[in-house]
Amino acid sequence: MKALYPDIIVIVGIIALILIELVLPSFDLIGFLGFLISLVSGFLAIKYSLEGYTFSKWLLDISAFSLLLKGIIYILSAFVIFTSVSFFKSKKTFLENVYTFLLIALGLSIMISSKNLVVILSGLELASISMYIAVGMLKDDYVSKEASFKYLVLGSMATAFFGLGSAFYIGATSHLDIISVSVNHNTAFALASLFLFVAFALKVSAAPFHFWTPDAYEGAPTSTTAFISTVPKIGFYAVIFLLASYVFPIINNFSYIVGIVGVLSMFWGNLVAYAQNSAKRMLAYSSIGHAGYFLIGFSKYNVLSVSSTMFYVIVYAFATAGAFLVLSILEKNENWTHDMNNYKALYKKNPFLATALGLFLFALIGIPPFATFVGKLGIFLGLVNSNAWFFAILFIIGSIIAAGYYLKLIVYMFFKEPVTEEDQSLPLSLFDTIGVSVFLISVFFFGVFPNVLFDIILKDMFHG
Amino acid sequence: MASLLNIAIFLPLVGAFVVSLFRNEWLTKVVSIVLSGVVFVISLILLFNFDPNAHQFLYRTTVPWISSLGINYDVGLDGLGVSLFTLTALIFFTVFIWAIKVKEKPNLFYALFLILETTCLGTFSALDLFLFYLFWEGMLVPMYFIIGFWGHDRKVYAANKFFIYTFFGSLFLLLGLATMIVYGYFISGHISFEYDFHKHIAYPLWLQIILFVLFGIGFAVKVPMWPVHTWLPDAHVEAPTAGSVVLAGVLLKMGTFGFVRYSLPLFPQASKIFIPVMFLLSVIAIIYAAMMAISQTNIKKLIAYSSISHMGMVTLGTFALSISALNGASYMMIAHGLSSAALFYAAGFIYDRFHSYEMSDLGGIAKYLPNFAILFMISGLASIGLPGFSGFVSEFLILLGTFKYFPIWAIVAGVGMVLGAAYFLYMYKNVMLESASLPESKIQKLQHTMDLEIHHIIPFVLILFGAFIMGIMPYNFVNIISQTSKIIMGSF
Repeated sequence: MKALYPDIIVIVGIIALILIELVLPSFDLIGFLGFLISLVSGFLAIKYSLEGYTFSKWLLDISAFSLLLKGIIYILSAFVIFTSVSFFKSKKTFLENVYTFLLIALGLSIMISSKNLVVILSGLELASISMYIAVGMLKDDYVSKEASFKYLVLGSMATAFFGLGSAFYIGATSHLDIISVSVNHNTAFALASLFLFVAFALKVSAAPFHFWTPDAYEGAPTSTTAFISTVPKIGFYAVIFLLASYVFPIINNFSYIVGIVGVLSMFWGNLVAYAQNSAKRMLAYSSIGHAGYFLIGFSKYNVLSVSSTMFYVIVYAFATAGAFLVLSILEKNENWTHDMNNYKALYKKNPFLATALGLFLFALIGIPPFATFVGKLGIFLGLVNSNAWFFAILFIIGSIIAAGYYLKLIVYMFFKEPVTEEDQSLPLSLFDTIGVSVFLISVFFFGVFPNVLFDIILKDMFHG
Repeated sequence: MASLLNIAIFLPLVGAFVVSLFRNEWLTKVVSIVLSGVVFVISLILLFNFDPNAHQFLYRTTVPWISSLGINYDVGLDGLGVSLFTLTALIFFTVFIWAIKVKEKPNLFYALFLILETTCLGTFSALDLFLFYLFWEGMLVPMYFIIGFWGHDRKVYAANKFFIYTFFGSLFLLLGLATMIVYGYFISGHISFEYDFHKHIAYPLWLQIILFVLFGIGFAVKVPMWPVHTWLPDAHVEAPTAGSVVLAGVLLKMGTFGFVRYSLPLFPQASKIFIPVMFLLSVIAIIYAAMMAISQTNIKKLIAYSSISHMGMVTLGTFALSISALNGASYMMIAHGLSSAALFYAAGFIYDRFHSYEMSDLGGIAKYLPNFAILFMISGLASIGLPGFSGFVSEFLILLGTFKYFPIWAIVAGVGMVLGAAYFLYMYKNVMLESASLPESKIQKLQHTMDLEIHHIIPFVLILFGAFIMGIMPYNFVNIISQTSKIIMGSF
């Protein structure tokens, strides 16, 4: 029963926040409470995960691993909320932003609490609908609304695919649960796997299902982008892991479909990123490219491959969230449009933010000692373990291509001369500094001591 | 002793934290010079206490780090390691003295060099593959910023090119590491990144060939071997003096060190198979780079190409697979580290005084700056292998060892080395002599140019003294280096 506490705290917290908002509509208060609720339930989830609590009654099946992921989702949400409150205040968005984030996290948490398709769908929809809303939160901003609508339309397609996949799945197996089933050469089952995979490929923005991503990420308020580009990924990849454990292996060569989608989105994301003039949009393409890396990692099912891909997803979430948050802090300045030219000589204007963003970008390139490097090494180990040399070489080429556009932004920030000579140092509040530092330290810490996270993943992932 | 090694590796990193915390220019310089001096003293202690008859790594520290992946913090030195360690410490010590007058962002400059020193020292002493890769790749970011911030006109292009090339090589190296570890896992049932563990695995030939290629690409980019050398001339020309010195003196050695430490002992059969390929690439590098050097008008580019040529000699000696050639190759890493550092200091000095690397802008310097002329000449002679300097010993050993089994290759390489004398003397003539044809304005400028200052003389003297000692007392140093060569050749 204790395994349910974190989610219960969040549910109660959200209702409390809605009520408090009626009485005291203050961003600081709501933001702080949201941060606290999320942080407490996050730590609680991790604590219970380490103590080995599980819960499998009714339709739920909460393992130590899903508790761990819940913990990471909530903690990550907490710090994104922490750093974005001042951004929302400056942009005068709706106050609901804070608990929309919590609702997304709650939806994801429910989604990974079960192996039952119906529960997964309800969690997925709670998260998705909240995400459509979160993207459109900018008042009087046409782009934001358009992004939200586009996301809604394409997101609904994912839901449709999921529903169709579930229907075929039930038809083929007469099960509602994703567990080991034995079916032989069943077309309905093959279609089920394909549709379920497509649904999640769309959600994690893998090419060719990525078309919503650049617009949604660019149109959303920047700290919302920081949230929706990272936290949901952890949940979605957890479901993809579930599918990769039970569903994909049953169909011959299905791993190639996953791998090819991975390779496609790696090259598409990384190459198109070069053409971007907006740093925000570039990072959106970077996340398409990363979706490719992760799908390549999940295409081969072995202990090393899936566990290190999961590790990679988590540390990538920290690095990307950090990068987008730096962008959101910069956006608080007037006339900041995320055009590359805005970033010229950022190092002179604000050394801390430039250095932080630079380090996040180096982390995304995969330079040690940042944690993403361990993820890359892990994927290599996994691919070699399955003799997937071809994918390994493609992965190298993709990573090298990616290095170029991250360096482009770094060059703008550090080596270009400013457009205007006047001294325009950018302000930085204490809260922003703390928020960004938390992400920076986590990315660094998990790189030097990956075992802290990796051991738990390795231990929990395959038991339960 | 083991703790001294750990202190030496991480002292510069601590220094970098101190420097970036206090951001006081004066304190920064004192801290950097003192700490790197301490590291240099420690490295000398380690060098002089080194037992050439040891059969394993000395000064070893092993601490479990990431036990679920079989990763340890594991450092230690062998003969080659301790020599390169000392070279690194010396070069960085001189760099900090040389750069004392740097004006632009001095704190950041020193902090980046301190981080770089830790990564370089770590690369030469890491005995765990994960740790090795961490240090190997960790050097990329500081060097990128050193070129990008303090470089010359095309610095951004050069920095990016350097980064992408090196990253390209490193990823292949990473894939190679992963392959090796997975194979170790298949046959032993547990994951281990230990160097010793992998040294005792007999890899099947097909795997050795794959691994040799994957590791080889990583190392070859760093050396750099022809045809992946094109980043080097750009990086050298655009980098600030201190950056070029570290690049030529230390970073290039990482590649050849990698071949000696990893490729030869771990994949002996594949190394034998690849001898013709490596020889061909080395000889092309020696001749082609020397020809390119002769045709340069930019002195820094000329020295950069001479580095490629010399490193070709190192790879040739490495793959001749005889003890004396390997001794020579290892000796040449040190010798070239010293002489190229001195030459880049000379080029940097010229740029400081005359703001140009182009031969057409220079000339007749010797008459007005006699001290510099002498030290530049000595550096050049050390580089082209004049007897009495370390370069000569190394070339002699390499040719001796190679000639025994591969006489044709040795002769071709020997001819290539003669070109070295040609391009250096040609450069010296154009830059330092020819005072007769100088226009009046230039002579006036030269008369008002200051000769070497004390912060220039100390680095020159330290480095040339090193080259000189290694040239006249080769036995002691060869003895230390051949500890590694004997162990490695024992596996063939």
